[in-house]
Amino acid sequence: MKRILKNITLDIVIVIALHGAFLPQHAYSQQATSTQVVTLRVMELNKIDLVGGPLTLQVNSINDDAGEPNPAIDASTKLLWTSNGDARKIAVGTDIASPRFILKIEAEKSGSGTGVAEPEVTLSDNSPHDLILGVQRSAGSCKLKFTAMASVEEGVGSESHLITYTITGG
Amino acid sequence: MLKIVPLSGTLCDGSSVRGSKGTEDCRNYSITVFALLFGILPSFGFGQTYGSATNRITVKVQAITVLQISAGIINLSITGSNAIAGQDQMMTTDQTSTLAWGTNSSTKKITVNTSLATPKFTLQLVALNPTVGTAASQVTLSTTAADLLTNIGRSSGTCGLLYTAIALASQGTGTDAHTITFTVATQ
Amino acid sequence: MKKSIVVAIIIGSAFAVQAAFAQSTATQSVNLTVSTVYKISTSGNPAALTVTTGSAGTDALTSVSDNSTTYSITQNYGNAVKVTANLDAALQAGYTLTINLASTKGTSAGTVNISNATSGSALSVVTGINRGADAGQTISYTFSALASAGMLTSTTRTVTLTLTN
Repeated sequence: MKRILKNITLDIVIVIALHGAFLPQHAYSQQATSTQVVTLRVMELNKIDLVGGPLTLQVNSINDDAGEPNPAIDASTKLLWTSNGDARKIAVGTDIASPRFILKIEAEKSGSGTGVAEPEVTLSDNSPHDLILGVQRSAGSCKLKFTAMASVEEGVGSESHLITYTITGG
Repeated sequence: MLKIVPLSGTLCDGSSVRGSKGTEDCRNYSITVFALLFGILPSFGFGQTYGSATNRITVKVQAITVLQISAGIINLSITGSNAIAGQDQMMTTDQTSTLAWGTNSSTKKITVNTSLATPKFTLQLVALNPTVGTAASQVTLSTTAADLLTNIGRSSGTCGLLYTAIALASQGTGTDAHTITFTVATQ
Repeated sequence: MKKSIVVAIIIGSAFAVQAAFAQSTATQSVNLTVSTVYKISTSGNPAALTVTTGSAGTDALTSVSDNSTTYSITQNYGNAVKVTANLDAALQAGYTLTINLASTKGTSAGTVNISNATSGSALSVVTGINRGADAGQTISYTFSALASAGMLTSTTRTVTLTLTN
């Protein structure tokens, strides 16, 4: 029994020694961490702007065939907008309740951004009129074509419009 | 068994004694032996003195010093738990061991030094709450003996030992093995 | 006659007391071990990053930044330690979060886009950090969004900074 025990003990020692020899010798990757909580938010944003200064539309010629003054047209003004909202539209209106002369406006959309231009709008009163529909989550631009018209019966005169462009729901 | 020898030189067994003058009753004898500590024989005059002798005893008490530490091995370990982010210095302490001493000499002190000539890290020591003597300021251990306790002459006492280990992160990792020697020295 | 015997003790007449104790020194073994140390901490959470404005005609809204928080590190491992950053979840397309960690002990990677860096794809923000400590270094966050991404109700992300080799 004594001899057997001695042998057993020896075997165990050998096993332990071998196990120790095969332990990985490389330096373990160590690390430490620290955390921060970052709060993010994006508010609704609707921005609209014009590129181009005040316009003067001069009706100063007659159409010989029709005998009526030729309309004055200007498309130099650019409308810019940015909206991150959904289902928006751009409306346009004048401050003159009953204009003497005819003023029309139409968006010629060719740039980027969502939205569909409505047909040419006549600013016949001071209520808002849809100019571009389906504006959502985008930045866009378009040219604005202004057309001023007058008939001979309306005679000579001048009207100054303050045109307002609005991004609204819808 | 102690044998009582009469001054005549014969043996007395407590019953009778046979001497040069014949048989005598030794129970009649009174023999007194005195302790002769300093070689002075006290003259007590107990009856008849038959003779005396002296012996000189010299007692010498030399310098006695005893120094003992409660723990033979102290292990200090600096790990992440000892570190503060943003600080290069890391520190740990141990005050589990005590020092005990006894000395019958005056003007004594206890000094301390390490065997490690070029330690990588800093090891400091200070005596805590000595029952006798004055604790010196905290020392940074080196091979040069430095005062740990002063004014411990003719006393026995104890004190705690506070080890402070300091490592800089910029020094990296490693191990310093010190053998600290405490010495009772003349102040 | 009364017999009395008094026996006294003779104390070593021939012996002088010799010095028996001479232990004037004592020794103690003190072993100091310094293990590998990695430590990183941050000073708290940044303020909420809220996008509120932009320019008409531009999809990219005006970004917002925060540099109110700092981080500190201590490490004694080596001279090639780095800091990585990741989010607990990626951001939706159209939103961007960047981080910039200043450093005096290593090399900052500058502004790093961590919008899509999750735990399995953490990005290095500081590299080659030397042994030692770096305290109170600025963390800069910048959040930007596209109008085309829409609005974002208040949402959080956990940014994990890891000091590692």
